[in-house]
Amino acid sequence: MTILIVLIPLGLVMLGIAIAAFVWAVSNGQFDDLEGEGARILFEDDGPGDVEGSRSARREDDE
Amino acid sequence: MTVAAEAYIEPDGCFHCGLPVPPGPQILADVLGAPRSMCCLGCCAVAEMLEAQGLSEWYARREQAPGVRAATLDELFAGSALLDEPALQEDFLTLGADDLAEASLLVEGLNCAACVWVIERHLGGLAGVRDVHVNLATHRARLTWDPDRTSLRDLVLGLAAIGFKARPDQPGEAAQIEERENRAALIRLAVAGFGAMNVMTYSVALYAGELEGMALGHEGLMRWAGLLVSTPVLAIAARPFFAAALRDLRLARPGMDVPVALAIGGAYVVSAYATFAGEGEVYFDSACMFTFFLSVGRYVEMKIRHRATSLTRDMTDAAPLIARRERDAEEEVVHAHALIVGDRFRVRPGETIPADGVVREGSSSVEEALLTGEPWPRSISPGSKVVAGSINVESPLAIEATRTGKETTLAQVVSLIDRVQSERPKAADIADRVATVFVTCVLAIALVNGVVWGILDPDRAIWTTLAVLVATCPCALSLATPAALAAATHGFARAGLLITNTRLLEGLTRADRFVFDKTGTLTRGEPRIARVLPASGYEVEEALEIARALECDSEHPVARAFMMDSPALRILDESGRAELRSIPGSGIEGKLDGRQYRIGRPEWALEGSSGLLERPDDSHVWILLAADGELIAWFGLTDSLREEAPQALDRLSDKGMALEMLSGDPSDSGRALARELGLDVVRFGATPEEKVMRIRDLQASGERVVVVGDGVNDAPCLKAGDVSIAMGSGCDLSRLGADAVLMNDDLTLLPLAVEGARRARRVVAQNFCWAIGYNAVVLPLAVTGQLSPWVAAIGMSTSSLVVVLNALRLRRLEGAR
Repeated sequence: MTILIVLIPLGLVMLGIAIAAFVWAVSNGQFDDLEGEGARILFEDDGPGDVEGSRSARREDDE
Repeated sequence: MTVAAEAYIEPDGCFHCGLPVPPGPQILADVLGAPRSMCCLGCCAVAEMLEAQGLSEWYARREQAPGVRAATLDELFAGSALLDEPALQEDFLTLGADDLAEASLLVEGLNCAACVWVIERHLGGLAGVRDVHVNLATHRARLTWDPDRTSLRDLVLGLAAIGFKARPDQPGEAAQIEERENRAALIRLAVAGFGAMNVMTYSVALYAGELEGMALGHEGLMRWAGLLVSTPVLAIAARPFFAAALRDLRLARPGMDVPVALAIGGAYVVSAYATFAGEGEVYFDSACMFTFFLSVGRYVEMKIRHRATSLTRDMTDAAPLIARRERDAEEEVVHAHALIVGDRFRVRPGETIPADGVVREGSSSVEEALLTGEPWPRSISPGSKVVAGSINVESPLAIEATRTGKETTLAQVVSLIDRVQSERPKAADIADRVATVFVTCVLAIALVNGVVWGILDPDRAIWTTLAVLVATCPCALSLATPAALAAATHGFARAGLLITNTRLLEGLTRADRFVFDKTGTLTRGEPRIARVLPASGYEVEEALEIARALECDSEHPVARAFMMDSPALRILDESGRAELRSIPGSGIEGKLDGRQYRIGRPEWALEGSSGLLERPDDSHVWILLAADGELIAWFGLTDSLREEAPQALDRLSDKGMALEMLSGDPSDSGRALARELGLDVVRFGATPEEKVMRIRDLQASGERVVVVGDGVNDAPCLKAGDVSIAMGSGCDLSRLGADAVLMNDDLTLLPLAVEGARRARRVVAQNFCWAIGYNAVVLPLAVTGQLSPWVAAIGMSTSSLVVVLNALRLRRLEGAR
């Protein structure tokens, strides 16, 4: 069971990484809207990409 | 995924938007495998598009039927003309890099992800718009655009075109504090959660070691790892409990936080000592799990509080009001609060009057629904007084200010709300009362325990005292109320009752009496034609047809009453149409089949006839239709009752509630209405102060009063009631004063809410019994020194879980659609 001497510190490091990742996500505003973002994946199919495309197309028209 | 057919919310009207389907050729769209009727080609196109893209499941997912009362375009466009005034823009517009303008809009009517999608796609497609991001939780849309190519006004109008009302949002300090609080709470939650899970793995190893035997070195390793992980949990996640406990002690008013802090802190300190000393038990797992469970409870409480405060904040941070001040015959746009008494200002049709004043030029009519709750515009002419907050309906006015800023009638009503609020009886919090008793008992038992063990066996005194503290940690007890409140709030919101103050639930369970406002609450707040009295030689239908032909172009509420039942069938001939004239404050005249018709105020319509005209009776508002000075018909208009009101009131009185109506409207129509509804006590023509007095009297006689209302004139009453509920279609200020908002105006939710609140109270009581019962059972084990850490850990988590699961039963409001 000497392996524990390696595994437990390893687990602690993983724990630190997990918390750090979560803190990063929270401070980046990833948890500010828990309702809307969940549905956003449904928009992606033809969402922003399309809008982006049509917008750039329009920009070319304008210029 | 297939969804059972009965899962759809099928509105009475258009399948897509819920508006009534007009007669004539039907528009059908194939949605979810069946033809559905649509009100217009627009809805049809949207429905077909959703179907074609496989997104029609939205219809199955939407949480409530679309509101039938759609905002009129007028409402949506109101005030938008002012958005491009530089005087206002500096308040909320920022110019960022690359000369792009940035602003945040508060969007009303944002309910679901579908709205987010529609807004982002629609605005994103407008010329000049660089970025749109809608936050569903805060109802804000963050826009970035090129000010050379589009303007804020165009963007707001773009939103109006798809049915959303938006206004610029000035980010306040409170919102930022809330955001910081939310983020800090999430981080604490994560630290406690991850920490508790890890410590539990070490503890399981320790428990197994206790049963099976374990090498001393391994045991030490586990203990040190536990100490290492619990330290940040205690330092970060449990900090609010310690802070609150210290505050409680300083104020000498011990609440639930004191035993919590004692248990967590005690368990940690003694376990740390045991780790260093290499003897005794460690309770790191219990300490961390207490912290995690309690953090979850606090997080949920905080969320409810934030939602309520942000709701009221959205209402008070209304768009800045502007005034068109006259200076040396020039018009300049200034902030409303820059006006002083004696200033002359102009108000265009559709704009809100910024200050109380006297009309100097122009005749028009004003809608004062905000203050009086009555839907009828009042006609005004030079010399008439007008109040701030009312809307100028027909033609431009020049007004001399008599009262401005905080002196206006509207501002005084708002301050009345504040005053009543501060005098409101405080609903005692059961949890706090229980906590005080509980804390005293726990501390007494722990002390006695420590002293007794100190005499019998000083070595074990500290361990058993700690075990007592851990065993009696009121974890389940302090979760009992928040878990039930959160689940019930969620259930209520799904049914359409948005709780903004958690005392609503307790208030509803104790209520004895419901007090209703009339206009807009029991009635729809829009006039309808109740009676038609044609003169001899004319038929009812004929008179209605002529009236509709005359009213068809008007946006006046009276015209809406005529057009509500059926659209105009007869169209005025070309020449007649050209002559269709609307005379402010009087009515409409036009030519039809060669005759000159007038409809409106009786004296005006029958001009030339002598004396005051005799109305058929006093119970309605009467208007008259005449042709060439000859009477054709009287139309009696009244405000119609909500269809579900009788049923809702019946069920409320079945539940033992006394019912009462307080109306600001002095006319007779309220009396008939009250008879029809079988209401106990009725007051008419009551001013807001009288209404508040009446409610105070009822409370003085020991009754608990629930107030249901919709207008600003009700707002002080709403605050005066023990509990108050505002109609969702009511004005913003009334919602500000309320503990809950009836989002879809469905009165039948009230009896369900009473039932739901009673259920919530039962669940809270069960939770209390369970939590206290558990602590009582474990206490003897702890006192006798038999409570090993694993028993404490299992018992504590089970009792907390039972409490939470029991609360989850409240997630559905029983009987709700």
